[in-house]
Amino acid sequence: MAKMEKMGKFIYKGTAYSLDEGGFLSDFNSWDENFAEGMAPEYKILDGLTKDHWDVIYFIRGYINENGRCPLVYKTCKENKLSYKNLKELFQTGYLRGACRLAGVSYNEEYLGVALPTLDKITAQEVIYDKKYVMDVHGFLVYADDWDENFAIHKAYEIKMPGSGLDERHWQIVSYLRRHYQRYKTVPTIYDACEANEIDLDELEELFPDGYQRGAVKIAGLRAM
Amino acid sequence: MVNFSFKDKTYEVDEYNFLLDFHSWDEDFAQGIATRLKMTERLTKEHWDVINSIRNTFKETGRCPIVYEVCRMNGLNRWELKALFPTGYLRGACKIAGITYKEGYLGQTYLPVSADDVNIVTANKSYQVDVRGFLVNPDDWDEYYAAHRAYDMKIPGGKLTGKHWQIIKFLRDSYARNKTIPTIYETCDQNSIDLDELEKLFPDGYHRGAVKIAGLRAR
Repeated sequence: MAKMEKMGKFIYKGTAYSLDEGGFLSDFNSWDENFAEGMAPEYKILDGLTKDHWDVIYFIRGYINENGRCPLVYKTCKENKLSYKNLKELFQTGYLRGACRLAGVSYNEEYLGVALPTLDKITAQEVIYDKKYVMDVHGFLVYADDWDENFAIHKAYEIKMPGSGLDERHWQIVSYLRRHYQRYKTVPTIYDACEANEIDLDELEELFPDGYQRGAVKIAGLRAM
Repeated sequence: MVNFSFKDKTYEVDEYNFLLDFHSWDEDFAQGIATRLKMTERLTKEHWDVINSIRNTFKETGRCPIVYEVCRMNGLNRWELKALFPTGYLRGACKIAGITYKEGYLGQTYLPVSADDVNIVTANKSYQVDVRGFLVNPDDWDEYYAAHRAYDMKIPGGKLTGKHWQIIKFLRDSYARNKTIPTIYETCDQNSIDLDELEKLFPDGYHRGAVKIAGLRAR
């Protein structure tokens, strides 16, 4: 009845669902209950989905609709009052590799995606998931040319910058650093950066609390040495 | 490795004239590097105050202070800092103080092994990551990578503890054996750890926290 095809399609009850290379639903919005029902046996749920399964699935979907990002396993368990052993009974192949897949989470968008505020969406180039970035052990890009806006957005997210992503003031500094580097092949001093952007240390600290080099310069894909 | 000589003394520095060993610093080094940075006058009390606050913070915390902290400690605004160290904070004040944030990031206690060679090991090593910061090739992984990612990701307490390393090692070993990442259930079972405790250790999540720091990715 259910059928997985090589082309990354899953067909169930007359509906074809497009999957990504890892078997995740490609488009979160193309999900319906039939998808979950049809997919369940793939994840070793052989006796059908129970209310407990649906509670978890709908919790994950609801959270994503609100936050643009897949809830952490901790959150899902807490909100549904499940221990990991309970979760294991429900989704024995895993949280990401079971519950999230049945909930139609796409790996790149909702699972690992960064919930981007509007401005980031405008600024960001399309994410190239296969792209590789070479970094040193401190997390600085080795080749300044590898940099793109997506790198900046994700790096800011990873180092837990305050607020909800990079806003226009962050981008102003980051663009300034990039332009300066392209022109002079050096990283400007913090003094130059402050003067050129008419910004004081307090404000820079608010924007980049990790520091000038360790925050702003790092997100701009540069390093002073 | 390069030598920097001043007043009949020789100091080992890197290609950018940063002192390699924090402990080999002395005041002559500071004065010598300052001269090299075209600070032609002798260092004043204001300079020494900044230099000492950087060195003392480093000694106490194992971390190079951020420019904001140093300015606050010394009651300096950026114009005053610039007047003192025109070539920059990192490239002026920190360099003269004999440290950089490179070594200053992580003290030795962050690593499960001796970190004596950490600068040498890591100076030229690079790691390929995807846009999310996941390591592309699990074989590139090493303890330094894990320690620095954890620090970057602001793991609670700022460093990996024995418990963290236990989980990381479990993930690495399982992966080496089975070429797959264990489920969160196996990880909890095998390490006799509950979700609450795992969350305290890796608040960014299982895959997005623990697995990432272990240099693995789910697909």
